[in-house]
Amino acid sequence: MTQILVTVRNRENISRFADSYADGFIMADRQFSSSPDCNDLKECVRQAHLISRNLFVRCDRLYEQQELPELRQFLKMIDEIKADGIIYSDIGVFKLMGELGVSYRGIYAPETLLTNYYDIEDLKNDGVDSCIISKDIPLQDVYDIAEKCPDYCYIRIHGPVLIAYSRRRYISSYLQKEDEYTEGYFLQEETRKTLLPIIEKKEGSWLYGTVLQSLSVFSEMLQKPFEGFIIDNICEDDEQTLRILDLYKEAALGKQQGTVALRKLLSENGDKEYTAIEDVRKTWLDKEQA
Amino acid sequence: MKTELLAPAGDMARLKTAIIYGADAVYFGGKQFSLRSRASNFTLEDIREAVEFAHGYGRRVYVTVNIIPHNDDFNGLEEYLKKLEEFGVDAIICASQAILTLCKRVAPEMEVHISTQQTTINTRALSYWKDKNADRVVLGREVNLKQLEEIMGKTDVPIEVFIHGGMCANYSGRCTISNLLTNRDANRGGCAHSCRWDYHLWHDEELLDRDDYLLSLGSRDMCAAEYLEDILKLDVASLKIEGRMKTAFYIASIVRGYRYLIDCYQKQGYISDRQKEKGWEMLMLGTNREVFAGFYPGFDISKGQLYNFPTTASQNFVANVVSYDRDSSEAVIEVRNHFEKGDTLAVMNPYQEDVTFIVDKMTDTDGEEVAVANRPLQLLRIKVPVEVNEYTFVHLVKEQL
Repeated sequence: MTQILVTVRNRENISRFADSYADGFIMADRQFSSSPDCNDLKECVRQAHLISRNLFVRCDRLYEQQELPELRQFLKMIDEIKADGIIYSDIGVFKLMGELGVSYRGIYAPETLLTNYYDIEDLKNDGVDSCIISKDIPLQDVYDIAEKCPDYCYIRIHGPVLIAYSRRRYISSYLQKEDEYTEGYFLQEETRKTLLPIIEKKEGSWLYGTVLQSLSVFSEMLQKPFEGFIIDNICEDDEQTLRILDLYKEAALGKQQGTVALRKLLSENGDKEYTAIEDVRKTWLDKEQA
Repeated sequence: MKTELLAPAGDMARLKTAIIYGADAVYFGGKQFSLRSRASNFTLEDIREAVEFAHGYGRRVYVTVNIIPHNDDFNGLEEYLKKLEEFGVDAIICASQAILTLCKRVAPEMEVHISTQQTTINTRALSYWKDKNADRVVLGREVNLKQLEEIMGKTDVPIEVFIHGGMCANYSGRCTISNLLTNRDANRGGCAHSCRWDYHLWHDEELLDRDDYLLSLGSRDMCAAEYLEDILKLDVASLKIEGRMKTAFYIASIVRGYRYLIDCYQKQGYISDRQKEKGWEMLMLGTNREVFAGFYPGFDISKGQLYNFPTTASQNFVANVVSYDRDSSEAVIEVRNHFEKGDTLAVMNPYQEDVTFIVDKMTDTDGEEVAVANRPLQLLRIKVPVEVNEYTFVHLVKEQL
């Protein structure tokens, strides 16, 4: 059965997801991810398992050479606390998992890089447990990949789209003041209205675009052989994530219900700019084509 | 190990320039499967010619197959790789596991180098590529000197690092700002450089813009000359210059500068302060944006960002050489940028220091004297102080810019 994984920000809220549509939660340790800290991963795993849900740890940074010893310890610790898996962006993590012989699943998520089934097939042959297809390609391409690599791939269906990840600290550099700028910061291109959420930590910056949503086509997506869907509500609170899960539960019933759920989403969140997953277009390669 | 100097080539002229000016290897894209879709790029016939030319000088040729491919992009790839191998291309540079695997299967004589688009910055990631039989890995530009030293001590995978040129603001390959704002695919050769645009910064409802300039993600260009000696000591396989879209003058001046510094190091085991200064002057000739040393000294919030992104290019390159008459010491030059009678110009030749001269007379093709050279592509005859050829560039002396 297709898994639905969802970001949970606050450990205290895990029990509130007991009756939700989610099969698993994504939580993070501050140092090894782009996300806020959940404070106590071991307790998060315990609570998730108490309500029969999986717990995946977000390890979505690229790790610098001097961080490898600590990263190794962290990956071992994840095994010890019996987390169900990790979501990682650095292919070096795959090697470390193999060297450590961990028992949890690894979902490889390099965000922009997995845009075809040949690469995904290659990763599968390498022994990578699962991976997340890039959200930057048209839905038909995503379906093609899922059908050619059945029960192997995840796809992000909801949440702000990560459009840039940098080692640089953009806000600190601009303001000439080093700090952690993690909550409520946005960039706005001079000639456009769209606000782009930006998170900055000691380890770099993460810039997000519009909010991806898949409500209208969700029932159709459920018919395809994905291993799972990810609702990555990274810039929202858990209350909002529970509401989003309800909308997807409704949308799972059919296309018409999906349209109704979408209308609710838009009316409840008029201030946000959404991109429907079915509207992700083939990109132009060149200025001339544009 | 002799460290290689690797230069970009946007077209055949720039490829020849890079080789004549001292590059040990050149890289370029074909018409398909390559980033920098607006660089001129090479047809299959061009690639054959490029290999013949480079191999004639004992230099190596790498072809970029570095798009982040979509399903359709694999059409024709197998035949393309076989052709490259048949022509004698020494390596491809790719950013895809599947392309690496395919190349090893269908064109096993060619090396496969893993592109910086994969952002390999640690030894465990290197180990993954080693297991897949990659022949070389281009590290992410975010690796600092200390990290590079540790990496070099712990891997036997040949390593390539960038030393000069434009820098992606974000981890290469992990940026789709261009896709969102312009629908041009950064990872398939259409990057609109949206990182260089101006952005307002908000915190909730509060606007945090500075009075003097808006926020830009754009980066200064890299010039790692200051750290070159340290990098050379580490025995990396290759030092890479970025810039397939750059001019032949840029290629010539940057390749000549690094060639000079590398040769000094390889001959003496060190680079003296005077030599560093001289090399820096050569490099700055072709550099027209603010530079910094990249991440080699470590990340610093006060360096690296470029605000108020400049839109004008340096115009110190003034002419190409079309022909030279040894008897009269006169050259026919093709005007590229404005200069005047009385200006001090310099002749730039490979492996040589510049020779300066004052323009005391120039005539057009009808023999009429000309006081101001301001028509691009106009042919003029001038007296030059040393022998020149088609690979010579004439530039204004910096002090008078």
